[in-house]
Amino acid sequence: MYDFLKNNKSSNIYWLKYPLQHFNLTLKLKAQETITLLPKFGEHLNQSNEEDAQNVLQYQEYNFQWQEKLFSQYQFTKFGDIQNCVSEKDLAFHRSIHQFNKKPQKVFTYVNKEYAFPLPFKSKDYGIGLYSSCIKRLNLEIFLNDNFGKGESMHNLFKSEDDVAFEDEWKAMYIFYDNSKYDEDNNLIFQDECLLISVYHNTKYNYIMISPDVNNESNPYAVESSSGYLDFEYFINVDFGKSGCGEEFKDLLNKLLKKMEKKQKHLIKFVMPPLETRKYYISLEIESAKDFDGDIYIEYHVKVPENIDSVSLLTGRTHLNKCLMNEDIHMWAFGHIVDFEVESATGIDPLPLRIFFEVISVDRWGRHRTEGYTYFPLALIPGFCKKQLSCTRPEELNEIDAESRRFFVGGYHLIEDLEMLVKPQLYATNFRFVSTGSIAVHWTVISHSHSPGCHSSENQSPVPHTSCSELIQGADAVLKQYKRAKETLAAATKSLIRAVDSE
Amino acid sequence: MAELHILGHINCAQHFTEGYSLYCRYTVQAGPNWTLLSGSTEGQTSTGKPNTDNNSVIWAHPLDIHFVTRGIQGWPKLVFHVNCLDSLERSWVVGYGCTSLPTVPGYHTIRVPCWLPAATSISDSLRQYFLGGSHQITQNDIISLGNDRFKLRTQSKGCIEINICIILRNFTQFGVEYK
Repeated sequence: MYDFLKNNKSSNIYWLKYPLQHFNLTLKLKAQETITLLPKFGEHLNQSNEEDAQNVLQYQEYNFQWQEKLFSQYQFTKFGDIQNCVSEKDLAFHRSIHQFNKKPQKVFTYVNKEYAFPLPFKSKDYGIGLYSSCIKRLNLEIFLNDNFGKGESMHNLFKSEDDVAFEDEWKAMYIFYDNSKYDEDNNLIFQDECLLISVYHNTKYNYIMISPDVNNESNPYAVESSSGYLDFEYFINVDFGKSGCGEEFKDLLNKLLKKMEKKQKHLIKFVMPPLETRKYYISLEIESAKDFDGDIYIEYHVKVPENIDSVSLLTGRTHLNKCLMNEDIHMWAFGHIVDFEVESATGIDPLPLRIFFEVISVDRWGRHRTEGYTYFPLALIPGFCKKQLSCTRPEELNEIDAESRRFFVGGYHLIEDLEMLVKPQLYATNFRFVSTGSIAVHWTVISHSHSPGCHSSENQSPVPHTSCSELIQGADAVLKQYKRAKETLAAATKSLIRAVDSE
Repeated sequence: MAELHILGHINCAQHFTEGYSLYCRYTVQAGPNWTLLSGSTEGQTSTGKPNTDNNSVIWAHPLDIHFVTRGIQGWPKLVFHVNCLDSLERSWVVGYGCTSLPTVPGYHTIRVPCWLPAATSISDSLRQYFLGGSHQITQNDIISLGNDRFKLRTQSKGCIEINICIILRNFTQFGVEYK
């Protein structure tokens, strides 16, 4: 934050939407609230204090159109007498004074054709980029302008009026406060003109530069003369002729909204499962394994119950993995993700999926042997779960036979029917199970269905229904019911009509 | 529209046996139903030297991703490429990892196990041991999709630990149950 200084005037740029004919600048001039300006004792005995205060604090408002000429007392006297008018411009001012019956003002203007002051800086192009930059770096621009060409301000001041075809990039207008001293016959004694506002219009890019910028009544600008600050302050307001643009802006916003809705239409609809179907999205991750031997991979089989349909491949295997052996860790990292979808009818509780894992090792000779089996039921309950699955391996009852077979032959698919892992008591076996390593898994389950309150893409959209569509749907339903009722009535009265006819 | 916010950070890498500095490139892979609203789906952590005590590299790389979706399929996954940077400023991959983001809202700590294609011959092993470098995967899809991975012979590597918060919005409106 910084304090607003009355002499700290900053300019601003406004891009023009409407022609400059609509441009209207308002300047409010007010005497400063100082002790010296308060009414002296005895001068206003007949007036109340409020009236005095109002007189002191009263604004003087001036409105200016673009390139509107207002005359000071000096200019009025000068251009009012035709003998002082030499150029076409002077004669035009003379005519306007008499035609429009203009009066001298304390706040007056200089218009563009007077070329009273220099226009904003326009960089000189020396033709060659490198040369221009060198000139700039050496600060030789002023020197070159003074010696080999006229400066921009001089160029404007002494511009030939015959060269009317040449279009300037800038047009200017200045608003001044006339602080000059005049005698009783309005002859100028001491000229003192205080610049209040400079307005520049860039004709090339059609924008306006106002210096100082528009301000409000709580932050007035002080009037500054050559001798110091005067006891006046002023406010600036600019109207660019925006009346009626509210509707246009509203239209523009509506169009933008429609475009945005059209663009996001595909996002609004949500892909829904078929009616009366509940879909389950399962993401199973085989994280790691530990306490096995050699290089291993894991085969998995997902068996779905009868009342569940699957659309994904339910069998696969991980990559063959070498063990990470560290001082404090001994594991096989898999990070194998299995994504699959199953669906069931709504209204039934689906049985859990049965997932079988078979850990298989590969030795140096490329022989595969089963290191362990494990199984877990994956309940289709939405959520996130982690599990450490202990593996077992079938082994012959005779330990020597088992070890020799394992060492020399290797083992592969010792269990033909994996259902044995689910219900071992149903199978007569001549082997025992030996614990081996373990597998870390985690999985997430999401279910998706048409719940009573949900919105679908096919029938509905998440956007609330319009009353019109609801009415049409309701009317269709009523018509269908009416047709059914009519058919029932016709069938019921058919036999009655026959009976009446026969009688 | 249903929305998913992923907030958190890639915390550290652990148990990577390479003694070099490690950094990690990550990408968030999501299905065609998912549209990124804000955040970046890929990035790279800073390079960190491993701590000699517990052989871990702390990254603490922030994640802030906002997705909007029109379907459940293609739930976002995080795919990691862990790279090392040796003293000669050479860089190569030392681990691949992938994890599916949790579907349950809340705070999660996830350990992503990493692996790397193993050297297929003794000469490769010797070269990697003395000169550095590694085998790299040409098709990155294989990291997140497990279908063709059985053809690979890999070497287990360390783990990446990520801490994330999952925020779900409007999923229940569309009949999605996640909890």
